[in-house]
Amino acid sequence: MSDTSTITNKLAALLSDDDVYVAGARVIAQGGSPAPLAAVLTEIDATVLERTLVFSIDDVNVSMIVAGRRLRGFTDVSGNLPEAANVIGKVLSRDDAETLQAAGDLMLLLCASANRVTVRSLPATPFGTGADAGLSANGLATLWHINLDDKPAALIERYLSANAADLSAYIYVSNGDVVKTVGDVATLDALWSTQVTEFRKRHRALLPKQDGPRLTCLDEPMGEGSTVAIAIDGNDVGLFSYKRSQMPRLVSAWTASLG
Amino acid sequence: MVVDDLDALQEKFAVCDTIAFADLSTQMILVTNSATSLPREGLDNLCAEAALTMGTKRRQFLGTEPSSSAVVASRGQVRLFLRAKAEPNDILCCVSTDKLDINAFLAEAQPLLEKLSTGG
Repeated sequence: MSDTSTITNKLAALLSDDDVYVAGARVIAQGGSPAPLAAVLTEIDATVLERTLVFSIDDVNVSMIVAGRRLRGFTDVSGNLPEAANVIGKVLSRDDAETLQAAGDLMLLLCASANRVTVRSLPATPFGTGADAGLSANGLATLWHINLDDKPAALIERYLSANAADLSAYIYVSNGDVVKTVGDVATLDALWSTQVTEFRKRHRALLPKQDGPRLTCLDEPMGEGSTVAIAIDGNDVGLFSYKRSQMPRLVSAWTASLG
Repeated sequence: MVVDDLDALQEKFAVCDTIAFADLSTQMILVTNSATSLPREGLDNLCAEAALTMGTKRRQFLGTEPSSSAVVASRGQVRLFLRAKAEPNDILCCVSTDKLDINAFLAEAQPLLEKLSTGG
């Protein structure tokens, strides 16, 4: 059998009830949920036998040697990132604080705004001398200041934060309470107070089958030059105005966040 | 014929399943592209969604004036509604995958809508 990894991946997919696969790779984080770096560390923590884990963090592939629920080191990082140069091929050890920090910086950089993270488990390749065991996921989480138990932010909260640069102002409402406002929200606040409840009620009555998360972008709903969008996910609502030229990008970011 | 114009636009944007010319005053889809997969109920819902999101002359559910366009994005799908400048009851509706190039579509769809609206 020439490629046991393919079969292993297919068997894993068949055995899994909830996991989502993209091109044979298992999706471990999508749209910031769970936090990408926490998802990577959780995979390391779940790997007992020595394997090469290949994480695809958006368009960057990071290959790591993992064994005994510990990260031993990085074997490859695609894209010729200068930040990866000090990390590839080095065994991670508490005795080498510089490499540990460089590895943390690299992963934080890659994961900071990653939309999708997938993982493949491949056979291990020879790495290091065996004199060091690597670092556990919990140890790395402590060193890199990652809380593995953090609950991910809600979809709309993440979306608004990630796209704040293209928004003129926004209101984030969760379970009826205004949780966050940014910018001049007088108009948005008026819409929230007077129209959103009725809009949602009408929507549910007219289109009961379309009650999933959705983003609606309106051009000129308050007169010439105005823009308003409403993002809805269950009891969470985001109401925002945006730069008109950025509407296609905002729509694309929304659909990407839904997976 | 209107259907030929809608078919031509759909051929340019193959990710669109449905492109429809509709009248918001009666909330009726008047003509669709010939290859649409939406059944009658789906078309009715599309028109209802257009009226709810963009608003009509009589009532706006979000905003104070009828919007000139609306884009609704849900998982894997984008629905786009465009209002004619000359006759605000005339609209173009589009149902597409989320791979639609929205800017390119709008650049082609708005002139087509004006043409259909004015009977040109």
